[in-house]
Amino acid sequence: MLEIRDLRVAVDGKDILTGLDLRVAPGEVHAIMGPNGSGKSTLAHVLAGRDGYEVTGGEILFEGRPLLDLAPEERACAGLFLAFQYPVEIPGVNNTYFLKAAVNAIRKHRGEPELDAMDFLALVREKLAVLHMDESLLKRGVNVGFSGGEKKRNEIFQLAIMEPRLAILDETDSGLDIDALKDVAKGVNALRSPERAIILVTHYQRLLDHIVPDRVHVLSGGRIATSGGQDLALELESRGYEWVREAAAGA
Amino acid sequence: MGAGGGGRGMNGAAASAARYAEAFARREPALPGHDLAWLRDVRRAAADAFSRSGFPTPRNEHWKYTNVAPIEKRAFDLDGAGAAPRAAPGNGASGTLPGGNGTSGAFLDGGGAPRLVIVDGRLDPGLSNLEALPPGVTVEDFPRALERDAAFFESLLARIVRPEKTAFAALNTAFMDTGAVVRAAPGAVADAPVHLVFVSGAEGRERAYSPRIVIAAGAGARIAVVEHFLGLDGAVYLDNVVTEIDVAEDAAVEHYKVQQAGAAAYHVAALEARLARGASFHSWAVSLGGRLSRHDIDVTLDHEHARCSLDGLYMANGRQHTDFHTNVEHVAPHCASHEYYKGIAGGRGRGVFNGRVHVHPHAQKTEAHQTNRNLLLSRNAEIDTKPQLEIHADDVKCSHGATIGQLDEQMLFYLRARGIAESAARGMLTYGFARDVVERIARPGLRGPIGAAVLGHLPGGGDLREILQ
Ligand SMILES: Nc1ncnc2c1ncn2[C@@H]1O[C@H](COP(=O)(O)OP(=O)(O)O)[C@@H](O)[C@H]1O
Ligand SMILES: [Mg+2]
Repeated sequence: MLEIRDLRVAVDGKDILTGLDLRVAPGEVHAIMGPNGSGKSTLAHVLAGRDGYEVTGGEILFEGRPLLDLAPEERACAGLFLAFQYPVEIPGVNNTYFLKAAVNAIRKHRGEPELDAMDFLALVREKLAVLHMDESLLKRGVNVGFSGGEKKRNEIFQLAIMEPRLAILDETDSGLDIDALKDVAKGVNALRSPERAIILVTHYQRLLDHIVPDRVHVLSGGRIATSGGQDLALELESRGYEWVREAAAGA
Repeated sequence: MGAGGGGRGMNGAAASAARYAEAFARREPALPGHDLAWLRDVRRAAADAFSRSGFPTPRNEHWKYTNVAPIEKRAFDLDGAGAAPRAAPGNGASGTLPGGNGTSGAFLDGGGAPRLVIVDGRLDPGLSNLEALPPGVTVEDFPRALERDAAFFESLLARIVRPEKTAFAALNTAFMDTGAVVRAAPGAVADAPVHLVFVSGAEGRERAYSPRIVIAAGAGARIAVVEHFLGLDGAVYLDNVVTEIDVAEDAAVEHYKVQQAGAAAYHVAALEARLARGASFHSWAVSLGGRLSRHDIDVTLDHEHARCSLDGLYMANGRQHTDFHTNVEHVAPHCASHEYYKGIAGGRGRGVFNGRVHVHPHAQKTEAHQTNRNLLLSRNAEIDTKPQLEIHADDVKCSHGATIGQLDEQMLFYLRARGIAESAARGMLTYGFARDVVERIARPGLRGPIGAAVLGHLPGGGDLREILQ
């Protein structure tokens, strides 16, 4: 589904990713962990197509097609979804309108008919319930006046509605209380399927108790320093990242 | 202010002034109210004032960013509607307007709101409908009102908007031959807004129109008036509008201005409101059409506990130029003014906002707030904003803020990352920027059609209809 080969990315002339390799197959859940500033969000943004990152080397294939040539909206239509670490507030653009526009843009791209108002509302109500979100949030501007937790829930709510092929969650867990974390995990777990893949970017092991990954990678020094299973996350939790950094430097 | 400068020769300015003077001399004997001595004096004084001043040049501080040389250079037809009945495109029972903007219907068709429709400077009785007026409210076209009740005008006409204020006001006062008069008797309450619809440029002559609009609300009355200017897109013409508004004690007037002049047209409008004690005035204006447009909005608060709110939205695309000048005179204590204006410029469009608030020495307990936010959609677009606060009293609450920005890249990326095409995302954010001004329209029935008109003027806005819901 996703294949990243020797990805090198610089921001403002500073090398952030220095040869990152990653393969994610359909049906898999991968966790990418790493200390602050290690380049996790950089990777997520480059995958989603954000400006301001200079790809200085390597390539990314998404379902066999080169991803880097596509505009952000083309990536979304192709089935890639990024749940933002810091969702932006968009005053003046109503949440319901935005969601409907997004869903229908993607459906149109897939050659599916647009959802009518009734079907859309039914879909929205179902997913709101899963995430314990109040319907009144839909009447506001996108993320406007949402609490930190509401913003994160809203990202997963959108994820649930869009049903992408590949979901990248950038620290969706940080700043969430345990109830919110469980709701988010429920929303994500409901999406797990043999055709879909999920990349969980996280700083803490906590999320992985609720969404059990197939693989865990540690991003350090601009590349995947080490990979393993669920036990790697537990080891990181007890020993910290310094251990990985030293191991990587020593290797 | 003398003529000349700004690339214009003395000869051009003098020739233009002579043409206006000659047209005035020719038309004066037949202008509405020509048999009224006081009005003759008013018109002549105004014509003289214009002859002396000529059109303003950019050396005049008030016209620094708006060069009206293109208006001066045009030899507009000043002959008015003439006596013969208009060759009537779309006249009569159909209830649709000739040509022009596709949005025109939205304002007129729904609800049967009272309306006066003036096409090319002449009342169109077939399109007008004044059956639904509540008791105590009268709406007439300007020449008829003058004929019926001249005494009403003597203490009012040209007293609120003084002809010497600007060259355009002087010109309008000299030539005013069309327009509308809305009067509400003391205590009268009109639930539905009165629509004054002006369609220009249908006739083919390159005309200068001089409509005069007078709105007078008696003590405790409450009325809303919509001034809607439409025009044919290919037509070159000048709307030179003056609106005088008299709000008596504890009365409330809402005034909506929708400027959708034709793309090649010039639109200049001066509005001034006079407020008695406890009166309130709400102005909401949107400038969408026209090659060049200018709005002057003045409010004098010289009686206690009067308050006004002035809201507006201006958009300039292509090579459009649009200019708002507001001026609030806080003369009496305990008055409040709130201003909220937003501007959007794309292409090579140019916007100008100048907001003056003058708090006089005795105007203690004044509250005056002004906000002006602007959005540039392209590298070649330009907006100049100048808040001008002159505060001479110490016990006041005043604030102002002016910003000029661009679409937020993070917001744009967020929308695109959800599958929304870049052009649509830009349209959404642009309408999102304008939306809160549209939401300041106090009448839900006007919000929809005006929002649609705004959206219709956005690049790519036509694809975003549902955003209005
Ligand atoms: N837009 C940017 N401008 C400048 N530096 C940036 C920008 N984005 C990220 N960086 C830098 O890149 C590095 C990696 O950041 P980031 O990818 O956000 O890390 P993480 O998500 O792992 O905490 C950091 O040193 C950060 O300061
Ligand atoms: Mg991050």
